[in-house]
Amino acid sequence: MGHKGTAMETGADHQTANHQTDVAIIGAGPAGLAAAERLAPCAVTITIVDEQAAAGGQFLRQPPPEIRVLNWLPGRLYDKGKSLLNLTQALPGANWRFGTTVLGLFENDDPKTSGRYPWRLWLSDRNRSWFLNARKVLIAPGCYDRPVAFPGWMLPGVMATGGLQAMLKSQQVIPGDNILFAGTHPLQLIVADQIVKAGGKVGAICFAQNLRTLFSAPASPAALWASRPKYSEALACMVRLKKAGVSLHFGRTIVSALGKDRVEGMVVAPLGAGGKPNLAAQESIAGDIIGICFGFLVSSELARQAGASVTWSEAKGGWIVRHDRWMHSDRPGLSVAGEITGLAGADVAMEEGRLAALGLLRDLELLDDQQCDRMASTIRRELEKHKLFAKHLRRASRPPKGLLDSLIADDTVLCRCEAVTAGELKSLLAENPTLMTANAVKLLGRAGMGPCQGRYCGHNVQNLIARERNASPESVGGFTPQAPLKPVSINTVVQTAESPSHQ
Amino acid sequence: MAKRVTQGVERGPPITIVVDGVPLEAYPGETLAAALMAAGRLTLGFNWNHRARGAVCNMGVCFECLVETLRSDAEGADYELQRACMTRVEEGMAIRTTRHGP
Repeated sequence: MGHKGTAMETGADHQTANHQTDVAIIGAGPAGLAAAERLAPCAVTITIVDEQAAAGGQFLRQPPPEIRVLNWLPGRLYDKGKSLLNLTQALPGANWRFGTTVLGLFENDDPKTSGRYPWRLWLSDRNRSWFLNARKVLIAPGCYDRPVAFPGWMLPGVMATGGLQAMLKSQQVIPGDNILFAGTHPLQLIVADQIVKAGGKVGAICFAQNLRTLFSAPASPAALWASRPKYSEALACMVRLKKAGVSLHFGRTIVSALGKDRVEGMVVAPLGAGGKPNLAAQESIAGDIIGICFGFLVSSELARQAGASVTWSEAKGGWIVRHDRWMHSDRPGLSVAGEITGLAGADVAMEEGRLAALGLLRDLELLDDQQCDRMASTIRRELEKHKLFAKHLRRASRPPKGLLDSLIADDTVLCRCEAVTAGELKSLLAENPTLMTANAVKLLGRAGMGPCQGRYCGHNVQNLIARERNASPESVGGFTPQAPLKPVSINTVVQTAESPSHQ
Repeated sequence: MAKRVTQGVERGPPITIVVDGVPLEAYPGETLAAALMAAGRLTLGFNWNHRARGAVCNMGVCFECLVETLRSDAEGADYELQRACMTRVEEGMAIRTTRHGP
C-alpha cells in the first residue's frame, strides 16, 4: 500500500514539511499508524518517519510495490492491522518519510524557532541528513528479536525468527530447505505455519518450556476471555504443523548451532534440574536455517538519548519508557506508544497510539479535556483487555530462569561487531575490580562499540556484569545511547542541511 | 536450497546484479539480503575473527549483513557499506561479500 502525503507533492510545502511539523511520529508500525490516523484529520501537520521502505512496521512488513502478493497475510491475526494500513493510506496533512533514519532527538536551540518548535530531530536517508523541528514528538519505534548468545549463534543461517518471518512476509523468500526453530515464544508457531503454507519445510520446533507452561490458563476469567482468539490461533497452527509432519518438542532448548561456514543443524537438550540443559541427553537435529525465538527487546534508545526516564524490566523487554495516562514521557513534548512502554504486541500498540494522539490533541488545545476523556475511556477499556492477554503471554513465553545465561560458554562471542567473547569480558572484570557498569566495560572491552551500537550485545553484557558482580542489571545500567543512533557516513554529516535554503 | 514463493506472487522481469564479480539474477523490489539468500548464499561478509557472517535480524538493527555496494549510476563513486536487508537491488549494481570486519 502506497502511503502518500499531500504535503509531499507540492514544491513549496515540500520544503517546509521537511523542516517543521506539528507532530513528528517516529515509527510507522501499529502504534505510529494508529496515532497518525487520529491526528491527521485534526488540523495538525504530521510527519511520520520510518527506516523501512513502507508503512506497517515489522508486524505488517509490506512487500515492495514491484512484488505483488495476491493474498497477503491472510488470517484474523492481521485483519485489524491491515484495515489500519488501508485507513492511513491517504491521510490529509501527513508527510511520510520512509527509508529515513532518526539519528538523534534534541532540544531545538535556535531562538528563532524554538518557541513554537521545542524539539529537533536529526534525520538521514542514504544520501543526506537534515533537521526537522517539531512541536511534539511521538516515539513509537517498536522492538526487535532478543539476541540470544550460544555456541554457533554467529553462523550464517542462525536468524532472528522475526527476521525470517519478514523475509517471507515482505520478500516472499524462504531462505532454507529445512528450517528449524528454537525458543520460548509462540511466534515460532505462527512463522513455521506461514512457511509451511508457503510451500517450505520446517524440520522441528523446540520450546524450552513445557507444553503446560506455554498453554497455561490465565489467572482471571477476563484474561482468559481476552486470550481466546490468540490461543485458538496458536492451537490451530500446532495442529496444522503436526499434520505437515513437523516435530514439536517441549521442554527442550537449543544448546548450540552446528556447521562450519553455515548452519547444518542444531543441538538440543532437555531441561534438567534448575532449568539448565541436561547435556548428557543432548541430540542433534539437521537443518539449514535456525530461527531463534526467545522474545523481544524494546527499541527505547531514541527515547533514552532524548532524556526520557526509563525503568528496567527483563520481562517487558529491557529499558522501558515511563509515561503518564496520556502517554507522555517525563520529557515535556515527548510522547511514547507501543512496545517501548513494555512488550505487549500490536493490539496494545494500536490502542496506545490512539491514546497518545488524544493526549497530543489535548496538549495542542485541539480537543477539550471533556471530549478527550470521553474518547479515551473507550480506548482505555480496550487497552486493559489487551494488556491482560499481553501480560499472560509474557509469562507463558518467558525463558526459564537462568537458561539463557547457561547457554553462554566462555568462548561464545557476545559482541558480534567487535568479536568480544564472554570469557574476555569476565577476565576484564576479574582484572579490574572497580568496573561496575556496562558503560565502563564498553570503554575498556570494546563490547558495544561496533555498528549495531550495542543493540545486539547490550542486554547480554549487562546481565553478564550483573552475574559476575552479584549486582542488579538495573544498577549495572545499559550502554548510554548517543547521537548518531545509527552509523552514518561523515560525508552525510558534513552535508547536514541547517535550513530549507540549503536544500 | 532456498526458494522464492511463486504461487500467488507476481514479480517483474528479472534484473542482473553482480556479486563478487559473478552475475546473479534478482527481481525488482528485492532486498540484497533476499536476492542473495534466495540464491542460497548465506555468507555476506566476515567478522574480525574471520568467521563468516550473514543476515540475522533482517530489519536494520544488527548490521551483520553489511555488504559493499556500488550503484551502477554512481559516477566515480567507490563501494559503500550498506545493510543488505535495507538495500534494494538495482540493475547493474555490484556488491562484494568478502569484507572482513563488521
